[in-house]
Amino acid sequence: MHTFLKEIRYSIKGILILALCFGLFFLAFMAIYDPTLFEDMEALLASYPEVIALMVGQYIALTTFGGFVNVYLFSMSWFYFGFYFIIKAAQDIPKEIEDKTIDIILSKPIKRWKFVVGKYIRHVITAFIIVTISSLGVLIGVFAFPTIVPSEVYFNEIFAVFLWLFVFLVALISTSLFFSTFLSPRRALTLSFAVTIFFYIVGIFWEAFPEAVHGMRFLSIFYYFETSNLLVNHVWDNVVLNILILTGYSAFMIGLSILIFNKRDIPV
Amino acid sequence: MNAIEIKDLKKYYNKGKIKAVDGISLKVPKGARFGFLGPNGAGKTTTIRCLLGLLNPDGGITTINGEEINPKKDVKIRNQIGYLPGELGLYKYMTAEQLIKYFAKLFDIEIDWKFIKDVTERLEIEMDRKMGVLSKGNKQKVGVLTALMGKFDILIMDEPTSGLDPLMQSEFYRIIAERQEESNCTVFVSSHVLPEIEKFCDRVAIIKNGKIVDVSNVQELKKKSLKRIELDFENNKSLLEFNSFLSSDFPDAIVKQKYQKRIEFLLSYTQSRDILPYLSKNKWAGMPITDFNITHSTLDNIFLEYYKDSNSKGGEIV
Repeated sequence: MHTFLKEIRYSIKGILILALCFGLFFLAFMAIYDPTLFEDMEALLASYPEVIALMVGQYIALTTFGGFVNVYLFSMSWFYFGFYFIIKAAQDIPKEIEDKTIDIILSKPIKRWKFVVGKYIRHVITAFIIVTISSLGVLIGVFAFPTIVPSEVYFNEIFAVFLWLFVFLVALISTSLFFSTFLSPRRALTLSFAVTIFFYIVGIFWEAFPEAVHGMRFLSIFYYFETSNLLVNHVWDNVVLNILILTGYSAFMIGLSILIFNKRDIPV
Repeated sequence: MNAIEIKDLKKYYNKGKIKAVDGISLKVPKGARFGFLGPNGAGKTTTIRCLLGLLNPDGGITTINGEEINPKKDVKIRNQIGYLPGELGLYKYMTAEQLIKYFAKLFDIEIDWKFIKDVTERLEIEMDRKMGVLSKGNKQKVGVLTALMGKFDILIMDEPTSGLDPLMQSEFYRIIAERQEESNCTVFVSSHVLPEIEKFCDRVAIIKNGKIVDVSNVQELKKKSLKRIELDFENNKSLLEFNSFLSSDFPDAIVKQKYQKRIEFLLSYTQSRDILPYLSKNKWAGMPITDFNITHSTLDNIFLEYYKDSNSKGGEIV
């Protein structure tokens, strides 16, 4: 408990500044929303190859607020937030080992699983703060800019997707933290990025692969973070199921991380 | 009762190709000042890390205060242990004071601020500066403070004085001695510096290549250890005469260097006493010795003596 409280305490300023930047970034996106302006853009996107459409969500409707935030915010959110969390989570434990700060901590009556969970909770709280402030940016934008009509905004969907985004980021964190339990900072970082890119390709562009390997999409956390059906078509099917799958994935990964970290040596 | 007892501890790397610790057995009596002496890479730190559960041993039994433990699983036992790592890592963004408070919370320790203040003053620790800007020696002082801040039965220190200047080293050992007198704790010090172990410890184990070479008290070790003698002569003729005397009267002497007017050789503790009258009174080719120096031999030379006298087998002296 104290491990993550300490980490939060000493990095809260940085986390808040980062969250504020993301909040302003999302708010800035709200400012550019204009249904009439995006009519042509929608037509342009439709003429692009299918692979581009897949990158920005399965259903494209830039003239609606839901469609707009789906393309500009949520389909790219892994890119906006992902890098930060991959870098932080992948290097966390190996950096403690490399800096030898772990020696004093683990030489006292602190169980290794508590150490891993402490690190994990710290990142989860950071993700929560960043996602919350980003959602506030969107909320302020909805009421601040005249091009957005609040009565046409599906707030329940927007906030459900923010919750979904949070759960997705936690899954991303769990993946990186897993590698950080047994690899050096550099290797953990490299492998985290490699796996994330693999997940992205498999989870987003699975239709572009031969049918025989379509089943691979189920391995990717990106497959379970497809927000366009909800934001564009207002269909809630599989939303809860996908959130539960991502949560289950995170729990599995954190369990695996603890198991591996428990067995490993803390080298000199 | 023994504070620490290790039986047949093994730690191998690379599928057994590297034997970092190769079946060592040790008994550290309660209340002892026990030195763990060995050159770099001998297996001192590996042994300590196995003891604290930071490394998974490949075999062996560990007993702390009479209780057989699994160092990794029985974490509660670590409440009884104070630890100062050899290569100290402290959070760069914290000051010493913040670090003390953080560890106190983390380890559920009640801080004795009077004691902290006393140690801080004596070791001249800068409490309000961040770790990131401190020198190695100053960081080590903070490490000492964190190791001593709680209550413990056993204090394990791995190369504790590295980075400390000689004055601070003396003060450090004074603080440890006072602490031991108060609490009757057991002190286990690992080091590769023989004089440091000699001054502080009453018993010592010598480790080399992952095996215990000897366990003895410090006086015995002194007798076993070699003295390094350097002599300067007026001319080369004097040196040659002395050299032939050395070969005939002290055949066990190990000549390390000999050139022009200077000779450097190793002699056992007892023989070094025997040779003294010859050095002070005798003349060599009609000239007295112009200068001399007698020092402790290096650890490697002590090992030369050990390997000469004993056969090491499976970590036990036979």
